[in-house]
Amino acid sequence: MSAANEHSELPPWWVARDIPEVLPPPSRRADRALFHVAQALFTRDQGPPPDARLHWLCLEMREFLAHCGSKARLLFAVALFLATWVAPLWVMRLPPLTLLSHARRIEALDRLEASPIGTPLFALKAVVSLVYYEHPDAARELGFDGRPLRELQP
Amino acid sequence: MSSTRLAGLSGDAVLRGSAHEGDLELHADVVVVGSGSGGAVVAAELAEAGQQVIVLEEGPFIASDDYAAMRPSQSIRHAWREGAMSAALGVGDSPIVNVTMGRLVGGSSALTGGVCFRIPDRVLHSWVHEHGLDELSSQALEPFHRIVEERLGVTEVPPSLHSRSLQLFAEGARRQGFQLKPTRRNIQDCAGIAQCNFGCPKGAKRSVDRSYLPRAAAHGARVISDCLAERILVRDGRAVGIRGRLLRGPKARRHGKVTIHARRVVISAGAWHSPLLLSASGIGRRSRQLGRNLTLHPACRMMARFKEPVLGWKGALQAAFTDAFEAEQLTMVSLFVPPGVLAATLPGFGPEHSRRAEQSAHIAMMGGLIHDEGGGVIRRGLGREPLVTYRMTPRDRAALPRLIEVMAETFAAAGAEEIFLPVLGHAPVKPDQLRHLDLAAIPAKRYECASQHPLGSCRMGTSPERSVVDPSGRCWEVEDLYIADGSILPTSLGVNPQVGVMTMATRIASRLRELPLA
Repeated sequence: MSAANEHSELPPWWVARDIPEVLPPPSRRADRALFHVAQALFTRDQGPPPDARLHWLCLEMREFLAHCGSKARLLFAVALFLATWVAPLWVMRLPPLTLLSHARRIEALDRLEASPIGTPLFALKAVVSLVYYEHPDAARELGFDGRPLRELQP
Repeated sequence: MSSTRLAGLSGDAVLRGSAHEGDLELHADVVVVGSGSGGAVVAAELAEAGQQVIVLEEGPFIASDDYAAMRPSQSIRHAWREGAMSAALGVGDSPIVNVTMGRLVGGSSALTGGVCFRIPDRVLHSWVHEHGLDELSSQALEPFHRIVEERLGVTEVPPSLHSRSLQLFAEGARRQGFQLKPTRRNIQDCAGIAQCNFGCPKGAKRSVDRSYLPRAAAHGARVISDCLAERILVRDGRAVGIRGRLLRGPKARRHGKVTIHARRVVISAGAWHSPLLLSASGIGRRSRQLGRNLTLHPACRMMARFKEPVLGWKGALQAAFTDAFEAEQLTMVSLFVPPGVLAATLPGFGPEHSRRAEQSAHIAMMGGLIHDEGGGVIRRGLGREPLVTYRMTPRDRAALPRLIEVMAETFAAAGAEEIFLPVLGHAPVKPDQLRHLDLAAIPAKRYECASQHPLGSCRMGTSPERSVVDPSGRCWEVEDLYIADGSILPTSLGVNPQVGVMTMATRIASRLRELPLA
């Protein structure tokens, strides 16, 4: 979150709040899986997003999940499991997803999303996207300026 | 400009359960479980009448200035129930519905779009004539509607706050032969930043933590946050208090025990949790209606890409609606969400997804909901959250593709270049492809459905065999136990229910003011 404060062009309410938390210890396996899914999801024509941004995302997601109920954490874990261990089968490759080439990973996840069992992946994608596009650099790529329709007088 | 914004609830009025050491045992005239639209209203009305009121809230106290300063995902993780991942599981050919609710002092009221509809006359007519609730006619509820609207400062959204996204919706509607009407909201000095659902960053929304709860506190009511009500205490057929636990930390772990002795108990935990609390206390099962009859207003959003820049986040989140399709159970509203939320629902992975996301500034959005007949059931699940199932009636199921069709055609008529259907993994379609789509053939599970309006799981009625509470909101089985939240509504409303819930709560509270305490 501290990275967010370096970008003054976004309004203060977008970046100002850092809430100190005691986070659970990281799960390296889950972080690695999430990193690879996010890298595939947010790859642009210019290439994948910077690693630093994805590490920021993983840290944010850890805090996000720490506050969710157990059912929500279970849903997220199921979605990550599907992405890691089932998605590769959709492109005739052996899992895990992390061993696939970057292009294959994108194709595998794309096909899983369109499949009848893609619903949990949608939940994962929605939460991860929501957080990712809050990074000031990612928000800027969307053309978001965070300014209201009318600035109020003090 | 003189500000008409209200100050939020002061932290001095709140006992934070997370910070309290040890157990807690207190006495009051009335204990209210839940601090949202129902509970806050009851607390304020009774405190003003001189009764000693304690409000218990499971969620944390987040000062309104603090939650207003959060990014959307921070709001979701700190103030929304289950990180916004609660769901009703579709049974049969019914969609999975993502149900979002607030979990903080102020409840969902702090996180709504601020839309204020009275309970529609047609709905009240059905309550009187089909459910026998003679006391709920339009005339009978008029004074309560008026009180709520005055206290919330409900006003029409001016055209100056219309986003370009809404203007395109209106243009499409006009070409399709129907009109939009202005929405009324409990918002003053809106800056138009389309952020209402995550806590207004400008403090312009008069949610109950800015309107009712400060009034309650000013009259001596106390709010205990981070406090889970686990059981209603009953003695000799009369409710005499609440037993629960204080919660602490991100995972809301139980620590100290809480006992509130009270002469009257009001449950306002919402349609998701009120039936669970009654069930855990062995109350309300006799009718076999407890937890049943849940309605959701299943809703879908529709997005469309236009050639021109839309910048849909500049404007009021919800500023207009149409009831032109009321006969088909449909209500459509203007809507926008922060771009990160918008991008989250765009199909595809990799460059394909990113190219679409980078077009966010060109995307317009609207939402539509179904005035559903109810088919949801709330059961006790593992842990604190319920297991909720939802089976659409054939009529509701048929309304789902019709809703998608109407919204898509409206944006097509407005000149959209590409339309994003709310169907999982579905590629965007060109307007001329719409007529070739067989929307009814899409399995319900593929629809992206959401709900912010769970209602009806402890419904009001005229007989203990068919309902959980009587027309005054009192539980049939236990004296001095009342329910005042969305769970008592006999049917869905077809419109945002915030004011409807508050109106019913005001009516219940007005009776409790007059009723002598035991």
